[in-house]
Parts: sequence; structure tokens; C-alpha cells
Amino acid sequence: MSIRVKLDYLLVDRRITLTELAERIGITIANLSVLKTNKAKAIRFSTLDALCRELKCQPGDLLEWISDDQPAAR
Amino acid sequence: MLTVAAMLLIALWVVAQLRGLFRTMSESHPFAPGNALRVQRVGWAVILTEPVRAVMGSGANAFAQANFVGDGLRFVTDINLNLGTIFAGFVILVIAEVFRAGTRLDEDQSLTI
Repeated sequence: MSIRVKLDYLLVDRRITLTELAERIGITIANLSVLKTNKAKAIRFSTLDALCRELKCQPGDLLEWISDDQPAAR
Repeated sequence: MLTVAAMLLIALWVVAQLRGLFRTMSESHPFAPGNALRVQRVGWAVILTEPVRAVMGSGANAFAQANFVGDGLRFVTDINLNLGTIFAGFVILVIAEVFRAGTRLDEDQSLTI
């Protein structure tokens, strides 16, 4: 998949755990984990909205496009 | 006798496929990954056993005609292929494709956060 979700970096940067974030945005830990490990096939705008609100970030901070021949930006 | 036993085995096998299908439906998971294949197998079983049934029926009538004599007793020895049954088998195959598409959509939906 060429779209990478940088949730792990944001969780560390905002000093919030996955469990806490899941409680705040009303998503199960399992689903948030699917997102964090880049196994998700799609994300709803409502979920993106909730994540950006809680993490105080823009969608571009959360999502990154990676071409097949370039490493992920940090 | 052997062909009757084979037909019974095929019927039991079809029932087993339907049992698997109904079990997943009772668990509110109709688009489980194996269901498309189960429905496809039932479809092919219907299509392929109809000609066998027609030939067996004709053969049994021919045997009876050769061995039993009676006034007014007639046996139809024509091979009576029921095209409606074969058409129904193809309809079941189309339904299997619907299940296959449903499974794909279900998987996508389950990985949509």
C-alpha cells in the first residue's frame, strides 16, 4: 500500500497512548491498531476528523504517500 | 445400485455444503470466505447430476420394460433432460459470483476504519 499512516510517530510526539486515543475518538483499540500498522484499506472522513481533532494535526501530518522506490520520510 | 448410491452420496455432499452455508448465516456472517465456493459447488452439482439422473431414469425404465410385462404397462425410455434444472444450476452459479463479490466488499468494509 502506498499510503502510510504516521500514527505511531504522532502518538509518541503527542505523548498519548493508543488506548487513550481510542477512548477519546470512540474507536476500538483493534481498529486503531489496524490503522497504526498500515493494514487498513480505507479511512472514513469522520475517523480522520476525530484523529486530527484529538492529535491537533492536519491530515497531511497523519498520511504520507510513498512511491514504490523511495523510503518513508521521518 | 452403485449409481443410486453415488447419487445419494452427492445429495449428502450438497446438504453438507448447505449446512456450512446456513451455519455462517446463522452467525450473521453471510459473506464468510468459504460461502462463494460452497454455493458454486452446489450449482455445479445441480448442473452435472441432472444428465446423470435423466440417463439413470431412462436406463431403469428400459430395464423394467425388458423384464416386466403386463397389460397396459408402459415405460417411457426416452432420456428426459430437465432443462429447467440445468438453468437453475446456472442461476446458482451466478449467485455464487454475487457471494464472491460480497465477500470482497465485506473484507474491504472490515478494513475501513
